[in-house]
Amino acid sequence: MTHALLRRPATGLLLTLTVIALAVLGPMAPAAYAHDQVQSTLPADGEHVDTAPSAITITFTDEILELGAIVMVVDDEERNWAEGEMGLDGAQATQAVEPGMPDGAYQVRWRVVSADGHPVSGAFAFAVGDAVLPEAGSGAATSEPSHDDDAGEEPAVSGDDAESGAGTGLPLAVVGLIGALGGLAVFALFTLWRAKRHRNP
Amino acid sequence: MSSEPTNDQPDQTEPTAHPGRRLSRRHLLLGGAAAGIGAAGAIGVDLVAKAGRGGSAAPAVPLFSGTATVPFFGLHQAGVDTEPQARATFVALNLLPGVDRAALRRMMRILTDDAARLTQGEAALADSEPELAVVPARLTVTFGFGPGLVAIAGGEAPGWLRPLPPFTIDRLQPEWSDGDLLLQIAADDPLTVAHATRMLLKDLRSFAAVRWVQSGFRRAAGSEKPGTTMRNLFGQVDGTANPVVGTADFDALVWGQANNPGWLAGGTGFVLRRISMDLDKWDGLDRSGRESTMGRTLANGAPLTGTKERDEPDFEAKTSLGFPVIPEFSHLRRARSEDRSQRIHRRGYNYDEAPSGTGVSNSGLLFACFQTDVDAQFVPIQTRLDTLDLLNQWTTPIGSAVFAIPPGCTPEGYIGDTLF
Repeated sequence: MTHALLRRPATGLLLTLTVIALAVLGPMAPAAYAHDQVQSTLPADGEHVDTAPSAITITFTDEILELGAIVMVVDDEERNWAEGEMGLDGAQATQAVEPGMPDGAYQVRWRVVSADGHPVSGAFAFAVGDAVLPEAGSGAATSEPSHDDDAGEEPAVSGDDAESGAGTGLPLAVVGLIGALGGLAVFALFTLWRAKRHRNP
Repeated sequence: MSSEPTNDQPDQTEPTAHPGRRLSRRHLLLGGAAAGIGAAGAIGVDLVAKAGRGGSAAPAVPLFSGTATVPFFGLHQAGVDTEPQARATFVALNLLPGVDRAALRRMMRILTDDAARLTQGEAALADSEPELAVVPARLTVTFGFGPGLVAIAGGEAPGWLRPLPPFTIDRLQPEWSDGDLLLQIAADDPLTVAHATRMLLKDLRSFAAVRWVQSGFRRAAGSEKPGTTMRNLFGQVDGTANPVVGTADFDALVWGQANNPGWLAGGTGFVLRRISMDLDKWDGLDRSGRESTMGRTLANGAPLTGTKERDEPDFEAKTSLGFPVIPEFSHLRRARSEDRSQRIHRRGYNYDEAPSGTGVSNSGLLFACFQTDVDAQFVPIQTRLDTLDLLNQWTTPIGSAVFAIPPGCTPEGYIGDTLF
């Protein structure tokens, strides 16, 4: 079965390329880490409640640190209705809100530091009364690293500008990949040339 | 390239019937080999190009760097504003009972004489291994006086010359703390450091006993461009905010007189903190978490709001959710003061000792810093970090010592001659 697959030219070529790409790029793949995620919220994401809540509760998958935890409850005019200190009990954060929140759509924006020290942040929305939510289900479970320009995805070889000018300035893995593609191209040309010669000896 | 199925072909068929339209296993193997050779070739050419350029670009650099020296005599002691050497050993000693002012004078004359010789690549007066002295490798020897020594000398101690106030994060161990006399011995060659340390400790046999020794390292000499900010064992660029040597800013922060007694004019204050870094726990934090903790990128140490290491951080910048891009609990945010006088000159070294128990690391930072007034410059920074700093999750101060660094001396004088 494997042989049959391998004998399909396109499949075989793809496999070869994939194997090369994996071998070259594999070591650069980031390791997987488990950070705290939101398990549930009260009100729930996208929920419509009849009367304004007195507090927002977010339950995480694991304990969070007291340090750096913030919950904001923002209306569509960017007013923050959170009031007083946030209460922390293990994996559960409770943030009181000002009484008398009018009917309307609210976004809860939170940032906490996981037990492993990783800051995570996210947002969810709920509505009081008949208000319509702008985007229902904006994702209570969305948590993101607390800074947007996540340099973590790129290899740490960029360094400072002063290094340019030596060699190609490209990571070895990229140079290797370019070389591999070049080698394949030469091989393909050679095969074509040989095929032609077989046809017109 | 055709994509039509050709699985009716036997394995060894030569592609003569429909040349160029199918790939046999042999072709695939050959293709893979060609790709591999191409990759190896490209990498090889790239490396050769790098090496070639590095080699031919710097013909002026001497073949061996071990002959380089740093002047010993001068207004200030060397080893403070000297470009940090690759290796440093810090030794603290307790003065022996009965050592008086006259003995201290003798002691410092002997130490000064040998330090002056060794730093210039000459053997110490009674050098037992004079062949080891001929590679100074930018050796500097810097002396510091603890409160006990200043008291015996009968001099006025600056107000800050005492153990630092206790911080809640401290887990100080006496074997890494305090002392009467400090030697900071630094060079680009570890053998040079070892020899100088031994020679000077031999001089001290009848005056003092070793209290602790702490050795640290940076990148080896020549590994990277001079002036590159060092990296600690967390991989962080460490010490970006240092004042620039030779500027009025540096002179005020390090060589300023402030409220220091007259004998310290031309000298400065020194703090050494042994900071244990839990590398095993740090392993549990991913890259973005590490960068948020620091407030800087790992790639080049730029603030999270910038692109280059020395870009000014923008603490007002917010993420799309409205939280600070540089978190208020990040090390960068907490270490920085609005008061520009609350700054220090850092000159730290990494340490890496044998692990114990189930851990695989026993590592950290010899946080060494110079400042005119420890209480006015260092303590406020440490107090802020003590109150709030996410980095405290992985770092623990386990040693602490404060010394006064007396001024330099002339060839006729000796280190400490303004005090005794």
